[in-house]
Amino acid sequence: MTQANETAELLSMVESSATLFLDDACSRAPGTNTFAELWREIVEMGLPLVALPEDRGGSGLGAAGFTCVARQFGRALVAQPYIACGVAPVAAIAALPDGAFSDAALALVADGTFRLAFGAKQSQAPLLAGGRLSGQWKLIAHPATHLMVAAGDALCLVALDGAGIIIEPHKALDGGEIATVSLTEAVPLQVEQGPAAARAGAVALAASRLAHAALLGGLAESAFRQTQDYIKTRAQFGQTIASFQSIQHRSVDQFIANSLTEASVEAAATAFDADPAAPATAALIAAALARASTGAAHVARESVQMHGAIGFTAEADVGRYVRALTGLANFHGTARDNRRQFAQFEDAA
Amino acid sequence: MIDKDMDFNALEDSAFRKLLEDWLAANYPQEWRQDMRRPFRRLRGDDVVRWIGMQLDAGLRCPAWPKEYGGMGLDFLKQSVHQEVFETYGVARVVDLAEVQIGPTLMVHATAEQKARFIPPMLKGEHLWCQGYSEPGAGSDLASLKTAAIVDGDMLRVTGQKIWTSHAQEATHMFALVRTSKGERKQQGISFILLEMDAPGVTIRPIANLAGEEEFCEVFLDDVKVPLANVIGGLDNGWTVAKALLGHERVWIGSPGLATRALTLTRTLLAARPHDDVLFDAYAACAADLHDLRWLYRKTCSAIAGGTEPGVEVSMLKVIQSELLQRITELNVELGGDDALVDGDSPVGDTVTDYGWQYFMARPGTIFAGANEIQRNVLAKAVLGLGSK
Ligand SMILES: Cc1cc2nc3c(=O)[nH]c(=O)nc-3n(C[C@H](O)[C@H](O)[C@H](O)COP(=O)(O)OP(=O)(O)OC[C@H]3O[C@@H](n4cnc5c(N)ncnc54)[C@H](O)[C@@H]3O)c2cc1C
Repeated sequence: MTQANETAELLSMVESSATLFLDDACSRAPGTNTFAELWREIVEMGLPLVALPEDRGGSGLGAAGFTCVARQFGRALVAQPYIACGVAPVAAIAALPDGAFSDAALALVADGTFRLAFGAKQSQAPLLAGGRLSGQWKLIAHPATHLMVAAGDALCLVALDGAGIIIEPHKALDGGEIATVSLTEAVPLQVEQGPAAARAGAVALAASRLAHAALLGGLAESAFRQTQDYIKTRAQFGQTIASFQSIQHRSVDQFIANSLTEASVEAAATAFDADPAAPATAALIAAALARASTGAAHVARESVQMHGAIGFTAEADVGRYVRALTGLANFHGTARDNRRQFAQFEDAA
Repeated sequence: MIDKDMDFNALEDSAFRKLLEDWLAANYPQEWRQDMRRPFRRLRGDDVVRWIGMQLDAGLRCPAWPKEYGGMGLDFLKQSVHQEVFETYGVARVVDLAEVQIGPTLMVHATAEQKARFIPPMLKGEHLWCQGYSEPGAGSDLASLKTAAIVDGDMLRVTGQKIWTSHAQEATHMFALVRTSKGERKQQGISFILLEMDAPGVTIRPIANLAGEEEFCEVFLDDVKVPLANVIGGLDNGWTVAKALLGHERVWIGSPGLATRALTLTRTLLAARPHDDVLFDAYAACAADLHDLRWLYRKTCSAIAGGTEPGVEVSMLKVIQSELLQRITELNVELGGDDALVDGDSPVGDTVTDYGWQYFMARPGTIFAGANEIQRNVLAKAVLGLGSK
């Protein structure tokens, strides 16, 4: 078998086992598993490490792997921090040379009793001085046990049970929780400083952005499928709602939107695997995010509308997706921002 | 104090406006006003009763009702001034179906005895009403409703299920459509009845909406006894009664008030960040749309004030306003950026907003009171003459 075939086969195995597992997790009665228990299972499945090379304990699937899994997390709407505690720290680890920092980080990601969250959102500029880190990060996956954040040209690992740390949790629209984390002269477990660390921080952010576009695509795909199922069974005026032409045309428009998102995410994932830090990769990721957020808003709006009143309830499954799509659509910038970033790059090239 | 015998219609618009503004400034509870956090706030429960009482005491209850029923007796033009002043002040919305739906219906279709029994208590806020039309199988196709009522002596025995009944858990009474016989057309054999929510056999289950609030309910009716004397407009004649019910509501529902609130939030969000031409453009598109809606609305209102009865085309206003409102709330979510992920309040300048809430609460406008698809079907057929039938 060729290398490409092998990779494709492995990818499809990872996809189907992730799909089975996530569907099963969704079907369990509420309260069956705590947040921490479910995360441990995710780690045991090896999902956070799919992108890491095999010689470092991963599946060697790169961005094709983590976008595929992130998409499944979106599709199943399991509110677990796959991107923040899996994709992002692993991308940083892969971008760093072997050493104390990446060993420590990898040990945390590979052990399901911990959750090492990457801080993608600074809300107060960080300061690393005399081995102590101060700063504030918002929208951090919660509850996390550790934080990985960039501070200037340094990358820091911080245990969140130490001194000088304040954590304010909030509920999130995707059904999970997020926190604002403030550090005041906290002592990091590990610090890596220099150009390689700065690059690894940037790569972790790029991976988060790319995986987020995939996640949005999965959410939109699933909301769309549920709506399709609904309109094929819901009858009014003696026929299914799906038989009305305006509903059919608008269904096709959503199908088109989802197909474009999938293609754009695939293109960005290929670029990421070629060079995760290249400006061209950043531009393709921006394009994918722009498409995914536009699609998210589009599908959320149509999902409610085509369901009628039942789409406006919290208990209908589609309602959970609409809440998640609304909350997450602009998490890594609006479609306008990302389109602009993409076009500015195209223009300069 | 406002003189209860005052002929409001005789006042200059500006004097009437001032009278209302002064009264609101002196009496309206600050915490009820719409703000950035709750731009479309609705009063619930005891607050509704209190609000009705305040208006009643001030002689400001039921602007559109004739004076003989205890209303303000405003002509159409004064009603639009009233609406504008209240919306501009940020008066919270109430689901007061007594005022806008069942009261006016009874005035036209009820017997003198029925009017005497039901109108005074709804005016005073002693009875709170909900609307039992929709059923699990009967939404847009309302006439396919199945809740059955069988005549038994001088009683109806009602069995079936209603759904999406707004504020049923706070209502004392429901006006409902039920099937009393099978006609050739499904619109035949429907009766319009009034029932008490605490009657034996009525079970209410609230349903949480997208914003997490329990606003509408399922109402199960299990052999509920309703006096025949509570049938409005005669047995099997309910469809005609219900259709007439809409009246000027079709105009008010197109009011630009909610979109104006939502755009005020947009402006606040934009002011809290550095200027950005692209975002300003997005705001400008909404602002211009709102401006045009406002003028189409005013134009319609003046035509009606001038004696032209509104035709089918007024439902355009509802389509425009509900969709514009959704666009504006989507823009607000966009302006929230990553903070929109928070389920609850986020800081904006020196205030707070709840990005999800305002987005979710703008969703139903395109679904209820005739979904926009149905409105478009009707407009295409009845106004443009498109389609085969
Ligand atoms: C917040 C809220 C409050 C409500 N309060 C009340 C209340 O107090 N009392 C009450 O009786 N009801 C109430 N309703 C129900 C409301 O009247 C119904 O939601 C409405 O009639 C639509 O019915 P449905 O929800 O069953 O949607 P459906 O009729 O099932 O429609 C689903 C989708 O299909 C579309 N569709 C249907 N037919 C066609 C067609 N021919 N062509 C094209 N598209 C079509 C619809 O437009 C919609 O997008 C409320 C609804 C909401 C959302």
